[in-house]
Amino acid sequence: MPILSFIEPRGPTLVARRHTLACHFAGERLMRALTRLQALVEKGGFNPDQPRVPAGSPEGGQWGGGEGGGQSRRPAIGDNGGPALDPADSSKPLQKDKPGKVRAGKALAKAIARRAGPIGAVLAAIEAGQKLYDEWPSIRSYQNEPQSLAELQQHAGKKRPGYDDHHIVEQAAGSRQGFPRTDIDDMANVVSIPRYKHHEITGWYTKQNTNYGNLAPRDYLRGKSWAEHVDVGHQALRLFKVMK
Amino acid sequence: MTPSKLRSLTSEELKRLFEQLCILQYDALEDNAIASYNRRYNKILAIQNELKSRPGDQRRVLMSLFGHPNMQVRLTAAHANLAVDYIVARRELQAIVDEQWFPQSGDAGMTLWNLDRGFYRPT
Repeated sequence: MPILSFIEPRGPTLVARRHTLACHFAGERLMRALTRLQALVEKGGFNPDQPRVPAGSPEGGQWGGGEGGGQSRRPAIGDNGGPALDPADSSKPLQKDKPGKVRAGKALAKAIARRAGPIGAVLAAIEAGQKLYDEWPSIRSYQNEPQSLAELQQHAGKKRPGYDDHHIVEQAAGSRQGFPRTDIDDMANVVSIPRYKHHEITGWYTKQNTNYGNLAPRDYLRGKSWAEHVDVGHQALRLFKVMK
Repeated sequence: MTPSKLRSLTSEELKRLFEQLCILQYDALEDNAIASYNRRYNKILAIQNELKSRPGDQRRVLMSLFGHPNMQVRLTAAHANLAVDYIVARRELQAIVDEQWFPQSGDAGMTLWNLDRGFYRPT
């Protein structure tokens, strides 16, 4: 028997390995393509919440009002540049379905983050189909590696799809405790973080916790110093893997 | 569930109730339904207090939930046992951090931080 047969498997095992490798490479390519698409979406100022002209009109499906809407929109006869005459009532069922979409989006984001690997992510994305199109920026941002505080701060205020501005000392603390609004909105206190991470951290602040005498951390921090708010806020960003 | 009703249950029944409530909390967190989470929190606390009041501090029955497939069950069982068996409960919290299963991993990490800085002393 040739010695190679000991080293390199033949027959069904080899075919299976080749298929596995091919699937892996295809998955990696698709993930890279999705990353490029995400970059284009961000560069183009895409906002999935921007209203569209309802179906049935000549401009049906095109972007309506809102930021970025004017870039490619051409005025038509009788067009005063205002909102569509027939308001997009069709958006209501979509809004109703929003929590379900967010939940499905989070499930997919976590599946990818939990090392399902590119193939698992692609399969999950295919299964989710177009339903999760709006959630894709949030799903993608959830995969980010932790960044430095400076990196998180530099994107604040840019309203990137899939990201939220997060106040390290919470906005509500300002009004409750009399912290000046200028300090709350200062660039040192605002960071741009992945949307689903923002949900997780805000959830942590608002749910009851044995560490804080069964109070929610938000309630415990009431009356505490600015420094203590910042200390807890930074630690939450670190431990939820947003900040290095 | 009233304290007298809890008293009428065996420790094993209380453990099963604890497990069910934690799973409901997990689902609430996935839906960002914090009010729903907090409603279960007080019920879970009542179960822990009932187990703690039993001879030999029966919160230790919850240690059999370590390694449970639901991460919220693991997390809450670990919290409940910090005062019973600190080393083992802490190890479970660290395992949850290492799993990187959010938000439970973040929560476990914050608890370890609060323990290490002496801010949180479990009772």
